[in-house]
Amino acid sequence: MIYTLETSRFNEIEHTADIGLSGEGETLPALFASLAFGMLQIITKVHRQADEIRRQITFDEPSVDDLLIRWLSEINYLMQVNHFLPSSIPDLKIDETPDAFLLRACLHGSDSSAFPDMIEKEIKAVTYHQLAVTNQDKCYTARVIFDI
Amino acid sequence: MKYKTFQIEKIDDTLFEVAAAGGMRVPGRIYASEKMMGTILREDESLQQVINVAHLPGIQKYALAMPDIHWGYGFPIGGVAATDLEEGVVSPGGVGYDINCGVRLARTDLCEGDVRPHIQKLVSNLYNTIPTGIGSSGAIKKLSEKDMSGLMRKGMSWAVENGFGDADDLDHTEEQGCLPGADPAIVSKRAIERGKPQLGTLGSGNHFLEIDFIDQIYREQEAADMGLFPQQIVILIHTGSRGCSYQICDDFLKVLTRASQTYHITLPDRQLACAPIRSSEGEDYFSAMAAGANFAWNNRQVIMSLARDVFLQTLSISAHDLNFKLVYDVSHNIAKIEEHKINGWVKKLCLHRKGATRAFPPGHPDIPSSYQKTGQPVLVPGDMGRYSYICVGTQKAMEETFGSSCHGAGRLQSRKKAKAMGRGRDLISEMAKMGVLVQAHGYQTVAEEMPYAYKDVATVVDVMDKAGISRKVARLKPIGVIKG
Repeated sequence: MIYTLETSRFNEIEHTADIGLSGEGETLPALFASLAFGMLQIITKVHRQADEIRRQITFDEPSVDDLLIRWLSEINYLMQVNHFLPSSIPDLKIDETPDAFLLRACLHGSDSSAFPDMIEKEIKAVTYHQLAVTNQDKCYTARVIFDI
Repeated sequence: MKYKTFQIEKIDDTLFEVAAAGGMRVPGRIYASEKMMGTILREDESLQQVINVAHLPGIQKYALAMPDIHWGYGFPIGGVAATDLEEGVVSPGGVGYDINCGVRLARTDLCEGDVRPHIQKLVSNLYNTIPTGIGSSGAIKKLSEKDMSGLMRKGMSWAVENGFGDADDLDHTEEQGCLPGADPAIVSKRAIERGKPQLGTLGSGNHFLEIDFIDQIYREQEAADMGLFPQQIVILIHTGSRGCSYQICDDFLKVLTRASQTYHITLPDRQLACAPIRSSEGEDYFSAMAAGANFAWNNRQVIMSLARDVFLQTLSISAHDLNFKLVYDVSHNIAKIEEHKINGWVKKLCLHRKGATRAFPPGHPDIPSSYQKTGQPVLVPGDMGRYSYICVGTQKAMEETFGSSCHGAGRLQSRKKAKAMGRGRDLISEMAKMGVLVQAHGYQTVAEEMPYAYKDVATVVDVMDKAGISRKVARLKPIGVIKG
């Protein structure tokens, strides 16, 4: 499955000082992709369809909460330091072992450094505050608060 | 009054106490008016966060909150906690992601009438010189790893050695602009990469550089000691350590979450992850946090130096006539080793201040000689339309709050609501009608930072003044603002 902004399901959560997102997906990868594109929408409303740059991400974490935080933090870092603007996620797999959750992803996107004005918000960090990944009625959901 | 199962006692008109219960090792104390306390109880979970902080091992006396208390990560914003060095813990949640976010105030010999005719050009030149906004790169060259290592170790003296400001600025900065023990080798490569292009940048959100004038003086002697006079033009800068420290905090939350398990520390909130101060994890966090703090002091020093140059060039005046000097620089997100009295004994403690400002009294050895009679300046910014305050610390602060006071106003509205309220309005013109020229990165920033989105900072400083924790010295009103 190729994940894009159009396939993503997320909503902004009201928060006095910062910004939150709730997301959902039929699978854990779909949820992760939804929140990634939701975070992207916080950072910029401009959506480029370009895919001249490809990035592979692989890591593991002891829990699915940790995995989600790491996933969003990695993308945030790539955007801030490498000016990488994702446009699609053609490959995203999450496997569970007895000790850890393993994520492997390939992201396509473009270089945003030529368009600095398109960036509207800086996310300082992805927080654990009230983080909850749940699976109910064949639907994965999560809410995340971003420190901005 | 009650909060969940907790009993809250009113100590006096400015102070409330939550009795220690359950896993709380000490009571919680909140400085607030009765009206504020009603709002705190209704609005968010910040009181629960005070209660959570009281669970920290080695916490001394009270888990404290200043009247600008609101919801944070781990600690509430406005939270203060002191932990014993031998038995206590250090927690990044008690510092925040923006390590050493803080405020500095610089004074000039100019009056409002001298500057108002030139405000458009001044604001424009400041905006074009000092990078603001997201991912902004510095007005100075991108730093090398050697530069980063140097400024993290040396603190603000690195900026002075590289031509930004002078040695007198060090004396007018908390900790002389350098937290000891910084070790750049402990800082991750990612944090270094995030920091390299960002020295001399304001950042975004509620960070700003303001041109203000002094519209009220409450304590004339203290104002005179700081070189302040009525209608005087001053510059207020609010920013921190940018991406470098966001990454340091992120990195160490992971480390200290594991450490909490290693040392069998059970806490009610994951964002209170901590480690014993004397553990390798605790010491490593201190070293990395100090490195981040030192980046922030260099950042504010470079920005102030650039602002001074803009004033000189735009107004075509001499340095002698401008007489631009740093009044003081305070941190409001930091953890430090300080000496305080516990049951009559002087002890070294780890002071966490998250959205709280140090407020040392007259005579304290850690404040500049020029402020020995005055007390330490406490800088409390409000929103960009109304006012900010200069206060001074007191002996009562040392006795009751580990020498701490408030740091700002706190948001009233979410960014979403603030943007909705601003829709269809010409907010820049509205601010101009209030006498404030705003230049910002985008319309969204202006809408989110409008005065209606913030609480009234006057109510916050009034509580601290009434409580005798910090005394009002002067009020500043903005005439020009640049924001990210």
